[in-house]
Amino acid sequence: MTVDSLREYLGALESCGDLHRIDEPVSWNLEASAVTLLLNEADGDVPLFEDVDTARLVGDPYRGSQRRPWDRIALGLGLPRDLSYEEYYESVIDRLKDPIEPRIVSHDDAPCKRRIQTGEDVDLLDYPWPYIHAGDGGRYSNLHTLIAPDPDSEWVDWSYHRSMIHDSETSSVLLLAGEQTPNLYYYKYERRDEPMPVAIAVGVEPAVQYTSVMWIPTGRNEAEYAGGLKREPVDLVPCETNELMVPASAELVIEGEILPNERRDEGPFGDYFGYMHGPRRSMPLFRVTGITSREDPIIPFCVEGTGVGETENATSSMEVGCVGPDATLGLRTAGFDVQCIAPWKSTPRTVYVISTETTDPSYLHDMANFIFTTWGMLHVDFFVFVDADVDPLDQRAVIEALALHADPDADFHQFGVETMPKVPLNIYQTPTEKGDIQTGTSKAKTAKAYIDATSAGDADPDDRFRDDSADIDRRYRARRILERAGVETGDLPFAETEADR
Amino acid sequence: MAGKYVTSENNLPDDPEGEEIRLQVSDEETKEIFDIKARVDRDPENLADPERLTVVKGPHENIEEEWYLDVIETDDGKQVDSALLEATMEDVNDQSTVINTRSEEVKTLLQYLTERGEFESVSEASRTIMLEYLSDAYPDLVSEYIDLKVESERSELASELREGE
Repeated sequence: MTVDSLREYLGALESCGDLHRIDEPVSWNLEASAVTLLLNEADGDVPLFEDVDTARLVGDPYRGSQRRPWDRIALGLGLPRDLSYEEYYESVIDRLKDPIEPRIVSHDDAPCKRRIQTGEDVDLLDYPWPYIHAGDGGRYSNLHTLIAPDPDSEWVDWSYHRSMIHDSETSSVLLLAGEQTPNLYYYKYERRDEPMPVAIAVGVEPAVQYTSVMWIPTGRNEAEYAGGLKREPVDLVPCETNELMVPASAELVIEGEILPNERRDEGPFGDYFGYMHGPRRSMPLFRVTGITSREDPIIPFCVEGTGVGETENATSSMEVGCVGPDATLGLRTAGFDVQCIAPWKSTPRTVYVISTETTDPSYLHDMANFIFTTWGMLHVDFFVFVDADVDPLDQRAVIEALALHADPDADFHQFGVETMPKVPLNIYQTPTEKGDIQTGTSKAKTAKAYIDATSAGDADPDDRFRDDSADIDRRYRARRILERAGVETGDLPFAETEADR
Repeated sequence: MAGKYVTSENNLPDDPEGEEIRLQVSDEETKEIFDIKARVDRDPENLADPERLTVVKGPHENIEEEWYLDVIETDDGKQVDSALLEATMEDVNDQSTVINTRSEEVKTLLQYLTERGEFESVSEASRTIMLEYLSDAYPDLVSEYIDLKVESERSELASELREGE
């Protein structure tokens, strides 16, 4: 089964009993986000708010459970929901290796063209953009695909930089230099004093949303990867007010341009770290030239900041379900012998775990150097390398690897404090440490670090299993306690050792 | 409790109390963000028609102070189109600067003011009155025009100096 639109995806969620329709009027002002937050915390259904002024909202539609964050992402790709993470990863990797060209459709065949506003009719405030956290600088669109072209080639980048609504025809866009679309703006368009044509496609089909989150290499056709993920061509249609092609199945498309040398406030915002992040920054100005949409559009949003600790949201689940397999493929393509790369589940983006067959220290150093200088890793501060037989998504297993194999003296490595580019959204640096006004262009610097928690170089990697003096009775009781706690003890090394006796 | 308007301490100039300032605010109810011309003060007694203004401050703007403001003028969203203004300046540069307008009433009133000695000529009267009106009604436009005019003259001067070298 392929999923051709956000609506179809929500229908699939409903068929699984995972969608909760809310018919009562709900306010865009904190209420929709508060309900979503509570459902995120309770690992509950996805809320579809049917009555929010002039449109509908859906909160964190791709959120999975903490135990299986990839499940709903898989549903959006028509994959079974009971895949193990290894099966899921390899399925997505196989699809990414086999891109499918997009298909251009006519205006009449594009659902996103049912309503068209251009010129004086354009009014962003006609739509119920959510005010997500108390203390945010404004209302946001933060779960969309931002489409922007390279002025020097045919390449068009898809990304999902958030946008803060200012008035009926302008918003500010969080563009942090070092990432693909921001680099196009700061180092090409703005230096030539030219506006960057942009379309923000809101409520796109799942494969398009996932591709926007992935680190597709510069110069590659993102629509082809979305087609590969979906196993069918993605339909594209031309914009009304610029030359860009947009996903025809989108709920709503905002067309416009990001102007050179124009800035507006962006933030504060409750960021993915789980904190309100401020103060406001000066970010590029997006001026809207047209809005097209379906009838009764559905606007998805993410309650950012709720994907930390024990809870998931759309961002954190897509980090596991989209960025994880894509980054694994990327490292393999670069020649590294990687089993799996996955974000540390309770800290989306900031910490990643990599399992690898080759654990030679110089090899790991080369891989860390490669990763830290790759654009997609601007957000990542720490890596933990573990053996290939450690599941990076099993935090208990990773903690065990850290405790057993990471020598604080020899296995903690730091990259230059003053030289590594750093996303300025963290709260452990003060604005002054981040470089004050330069934070807006991501010129903040700090250290990046990795931990070698592989067993290579340990005094004797089998020491932990050697237990000649073990008290059998104590081992038996430990196993019973673990079983009562729901742990599958059959997979644990001590159980095998015991069985061998 | 938040006020009707919200702004950041970063948007306030030093010692803003009592001064007429231009300020970026957001509407607490709609969250729309826009500029206003206003007089602000911590004490509502010092203002004629005070409305609440919440000033947020601190590294994460999570500290709130209660201020008040008198709204003098709100930005209606029609910002000055600098490119159009610049193109108009270039057009006018090649044209006669005479403005033609046919109105018996205007001419009668301007001639009356001139004969009373308030202006030396009808054209001076029309020029002065129109500029005064434009300054009051379109202050941003006049300000932008002056900026562009100064910039243009500076460029011309620099060009003449380069040619003279």
